[in-house]
Amino acid sequence: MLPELEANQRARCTRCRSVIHSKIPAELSASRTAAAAVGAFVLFWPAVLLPILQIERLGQSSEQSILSGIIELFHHGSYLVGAVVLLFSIVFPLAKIVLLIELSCLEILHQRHKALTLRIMEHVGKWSMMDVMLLAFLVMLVKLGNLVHFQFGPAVVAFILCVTMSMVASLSFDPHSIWDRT
Amino acid sequence: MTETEAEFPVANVSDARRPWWSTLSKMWIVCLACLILAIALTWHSADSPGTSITIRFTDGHGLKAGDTIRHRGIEIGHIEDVSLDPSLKGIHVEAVLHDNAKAIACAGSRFWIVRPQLGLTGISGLETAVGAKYIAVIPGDGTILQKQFDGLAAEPPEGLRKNGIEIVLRGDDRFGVNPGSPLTWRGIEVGQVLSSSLSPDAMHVDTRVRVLEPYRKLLSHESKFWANSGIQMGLDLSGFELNAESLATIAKGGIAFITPQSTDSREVRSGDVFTLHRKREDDWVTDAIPVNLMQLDAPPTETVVAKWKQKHFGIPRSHSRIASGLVVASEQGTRILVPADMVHVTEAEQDSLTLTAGNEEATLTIPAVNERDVEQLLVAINLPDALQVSDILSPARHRSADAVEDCFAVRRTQQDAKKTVVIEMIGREQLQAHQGIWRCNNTHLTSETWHGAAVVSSSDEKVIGMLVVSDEGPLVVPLPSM
Repeated sequence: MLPELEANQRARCTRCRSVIHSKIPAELSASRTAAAAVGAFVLFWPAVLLPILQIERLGQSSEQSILSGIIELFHHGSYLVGAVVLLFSIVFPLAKIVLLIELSCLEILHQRHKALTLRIMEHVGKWSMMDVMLLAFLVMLVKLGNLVHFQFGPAVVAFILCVTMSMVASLSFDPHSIWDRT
Repeated sequence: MTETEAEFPVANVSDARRPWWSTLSKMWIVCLACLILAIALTWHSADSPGTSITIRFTDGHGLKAGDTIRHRGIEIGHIEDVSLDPSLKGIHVEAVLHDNAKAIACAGSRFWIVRPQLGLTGISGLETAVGAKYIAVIPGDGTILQKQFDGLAAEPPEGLRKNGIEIVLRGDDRFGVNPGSPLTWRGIEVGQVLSSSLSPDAMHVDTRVRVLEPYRKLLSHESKFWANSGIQMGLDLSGFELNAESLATIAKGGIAFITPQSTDSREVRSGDVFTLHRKREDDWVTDAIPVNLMQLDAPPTETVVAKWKQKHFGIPRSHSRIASGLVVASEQGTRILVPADMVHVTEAEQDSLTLTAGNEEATLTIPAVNERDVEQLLVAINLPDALQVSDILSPARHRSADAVEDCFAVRRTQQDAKKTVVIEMIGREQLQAHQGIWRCNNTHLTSETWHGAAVVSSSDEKVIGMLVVSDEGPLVVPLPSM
């Protein structure tokens, strides 16, 4: 027989003491998720649209944002690479953030709808590669540092924070709140 | 009793109404911070709009969008777009000038595409052989805003980038002169040829030259120009003779000029036309006059007139002497420095001696006799306050000189309310130091013109002394320390 949890209580495993379930008020958890997701959403646009890298090579300097980089890839005819980058660095992360915002609106959506959304978000989240891309940039910077002059653009700050905020949002979302009826 | 208790109004209990924001997470503050940051980043990186201009070129030389416009070695704008003219006769370059360089979008600015060029006198634009091309500009001096420009086909001659005066030389031939050829004065480059073109009637060649700013004083309406291109060769009984100005003039041609004595004192202005002669005539050079090339203004000399009455056989006659005086600022007030013989009169004549200076004919108080030393060659006289002197020699403009050095005598003359400066070089070799005074064997220095003239050092243009023309000849008296 499981004990009933009161509000602001948490259940821990008697052996390993890991949290099984914490009874934070559903509104608060949802509100936190919503706030973090909205923050990530707001930062997503400058991260994608503002120049992220300034590359200077032999007196020629070029500024690239993520979006203009993708457009450039399409112009050069590398449709496959362009499409992959577009999907993994723009479409999936954006979808994840939007779905998180949607999920955190507890009262509006039907329970079944939310379960579906959660499932989609879990799948989409796996493929949103924003964090990986950030790593890729850093690796590039280290590898080419001496050959070409690199400078980070303003989008990098937005990018890092956007990744952080979307991680916070997905961590603070409590899936129990979907079927919890209190 | 119970009834009244039951009817006694207690309170209406309902759910406490909590404000709507109490359920909100603290994360919303972070969210707000994110919003502010996003706006700040966008605001920060939004380019200041800049000034967009269009430049038309006949050839693009591989210019493309993203290349820069540079001036004085730094980027002042970038190219947005390069497109072909619909008539296929040129290209249009859409460029944006940075905000701090928007003054370049004015009438008179000249643009050209920098590309590597190999010439007889040097290599330029080498960095564009490997790197990106760029557009260079000479800003116009106009204040009229202009957005459409016609680019130059090639880099303009160097002279165009410097200040100066542009004149036109009209000759019968091009005389082998090219854009970029030097314009020389006694072999020193003082300007540059900008272009040559055929006159509309095909009878003359107009050569535009630019005389650089420090040398524009060399020009007068009587200036004589001649072509000194190439090599002059002659073979006669004495042997073979070869004349050439310099390697550059052999290759590129050149124009020389000299200014003989001139009565026309009008200033030469931009666009004035002179004749370009085929050959030099010898008397041009011998007739040449000294030209004041001083960077600074001439030292302030005033004409001082001394008048006194001298008795000849009991009949008083008035005499006068004229010299220049130098107005200097000293601790005792403004003083005028004059040659001492201006006040050398016998005691009997002392009372009648008056000194006048300047336009206002102010009478100066002559210092008492005992203050004057006969051996002394210069006398400083206090200027009355009434005399308004516009120019006073500041302490920064004079110094004492210890050793003989190259210098020149300078004095201002005033004729018909027009001030001119006459100047005469005194070379070091003409001077001999003797008891602190420099004897000078320059025969041009006559008493009428040069008595009391300021002596200016040719190295720093500071006044170092005064010229006193005595019976033994001209003397340079170094300034006493003030």
